[in-house]
Amino acid sequence: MSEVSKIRTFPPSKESWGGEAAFEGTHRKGELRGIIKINQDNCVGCDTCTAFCPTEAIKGSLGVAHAISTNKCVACGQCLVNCPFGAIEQMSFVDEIMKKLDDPKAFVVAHPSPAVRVSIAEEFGGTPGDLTINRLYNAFEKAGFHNYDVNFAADQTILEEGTEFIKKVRYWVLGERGEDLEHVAHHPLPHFTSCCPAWVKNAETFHPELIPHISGAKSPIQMGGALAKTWAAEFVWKKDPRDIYMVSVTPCTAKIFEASRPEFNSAYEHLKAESKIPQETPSFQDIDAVLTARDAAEIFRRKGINPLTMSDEREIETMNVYTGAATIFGASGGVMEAALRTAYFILSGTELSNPDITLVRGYEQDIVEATIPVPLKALNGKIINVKVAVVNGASRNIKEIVKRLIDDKNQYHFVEVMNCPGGCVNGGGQPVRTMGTSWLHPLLPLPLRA
Amino acid sequence: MANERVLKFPMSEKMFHNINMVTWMILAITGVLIYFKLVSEATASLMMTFHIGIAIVFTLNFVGFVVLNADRFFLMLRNLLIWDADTFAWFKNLGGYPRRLFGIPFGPVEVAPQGRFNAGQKITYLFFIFMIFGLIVTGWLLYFMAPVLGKTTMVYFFNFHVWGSIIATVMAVGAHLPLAVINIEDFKAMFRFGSGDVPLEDALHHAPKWVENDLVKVSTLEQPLKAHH
Repeated sequence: MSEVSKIRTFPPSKESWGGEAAFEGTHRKGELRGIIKINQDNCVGCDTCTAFCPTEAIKGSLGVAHAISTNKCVACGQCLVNCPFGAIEQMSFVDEIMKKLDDPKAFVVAHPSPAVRVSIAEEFGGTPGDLTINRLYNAFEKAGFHNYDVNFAADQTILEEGTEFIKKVRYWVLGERGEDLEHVAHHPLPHFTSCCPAWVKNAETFHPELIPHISGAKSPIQMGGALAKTWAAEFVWKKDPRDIYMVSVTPCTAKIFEASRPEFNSAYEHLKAESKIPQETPSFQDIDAVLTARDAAEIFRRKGINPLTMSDEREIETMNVYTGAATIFGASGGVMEAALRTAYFILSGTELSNPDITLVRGYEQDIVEATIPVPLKALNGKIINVKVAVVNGASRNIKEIVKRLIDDKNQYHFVEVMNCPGGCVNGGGQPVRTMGTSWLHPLLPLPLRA
Repeated sequence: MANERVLKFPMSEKMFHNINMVTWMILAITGVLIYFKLVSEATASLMMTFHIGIAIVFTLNFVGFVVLNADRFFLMLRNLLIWDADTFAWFKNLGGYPRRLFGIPFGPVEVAPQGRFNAGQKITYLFFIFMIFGLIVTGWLLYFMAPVLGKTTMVYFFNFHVWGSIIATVMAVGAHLPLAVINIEDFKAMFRFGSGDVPLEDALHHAPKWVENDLVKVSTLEQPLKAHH
């Protein structure tokens, strides 16, 4: 088993949020940019990174120090994970969060994603999956955080995204019409997942024709942020939402960008509309800061905490209850599988006899296709074949899916897109191996796919 | 005997050596300029294109020599790899060079008789052949296969390519070239147009075991001798 590499980080600067202009290139006012940066002094121009960039955002010829185009970059961090020379650096909020943890007024909440729990042990000399979730919760608590598992919100996401898909099937396949279906009239099939921020940014910048197809459901992290500052603040923690400081702990560097998107201040908008906070309260984001798995490990190290040595005992808490469907979000095909379970149940009126839809799993193929027969309760058991695809790594596969859809718009009903090969578990924020080109293959590199 | 000559460097070896020398130096200079960022980005980019183009010639030269002159290549390897007691004895006084060049009385005055290559040349030339092969392999793997090599492998190959070539170049320029100039008959044989022969007297002085064991007289006086091994 190879070692874990140290990845250099840098704090955000004033320029990281842009200036006063509404748009600067592909970024809106307030959106973070330059999250992934190539250190010109350390880059030898080996050109490895360009093979892993899904948007051709990396400039530079062989032998010359490379640079990332801010306008093209979707902040997925695959270049960083795959750089042999450790020349690519990541924006980090560790210092800011450390200050918040020392602030007695702040109610700092760790919002850990499922892919982090299987990887963070490696930062402490363990093997993948060594850590149990209770040990991670206890470690966060010891560091001064409160816990709110992203899985809780992932279950909300699947309810939203699955229901949206069902409505699209009713409108576009079954021809139903009604007030509750009006909003899907402009959002045709195929239905694309929306929880990968790098994919969403990629579509917005390079494939705007796909935007009407993308689910309107927020990612689990963003749903979690809004729920934390509204429902949980009032009914669970009984805290002033303005004091809640939500820290997403993710395997993903693109989540750093996502958290800064101006529309993701739903809690603020809701609380203001409900007069639950003073009208003059300045806007705040649903997620205040993002830690990658590597950053979280850095905080533990600074606090002298080894999560592997924490107790595995813990009471079940309201904010940490979830289903198995939420946990599989972290792996390629997981969102699809979870959504199909919900869709199958609602459309057919029965539970799947075997909830494991293994057809859509795996990361060895660029694009996984499957057909799932679903008996429709509304049509006395008539079967429709739900055609799905899972895009495993964005590099050339998004272009391929777009090409297929141009050839035949009815080719799929549902498409899951994950920027990183293997899904979030292989995200740009995960511990970086010194040998393999990805977390999934610590010793043997992935084929040239990402 | 005064006019007798022996063939030291057949045409195939001369061609390989001289093309290798010229391309090596171009590759070394362009490589150093690029790696140490001594030129502008645009120039570095042009240099890299040039580096890769010359690398094709460098590779074909080596492959061509090995494939088209396999007998010569393996004969050379045999000469380099056979080590007898006299080869090891060379190290007792380093071939007499410290005494001859710098007046340092290091080891015995008498030099142990050597074959076509003395012990120092054997080590150096084996190293050069290994480096030529290694630089070709690592260079093309870095060019074509970087994303699938595995990161640590990539770093090892890269460092071998950069630092291995720098060390070999320093050895070639700092030791191989001056010593070749000192052995002026070898130098002339390698670089003159025409036959790569040296006086038999010189061969007997530097490589008596080669003359004794490997050479066969095939022509009369004042004609080049062809070596049969």
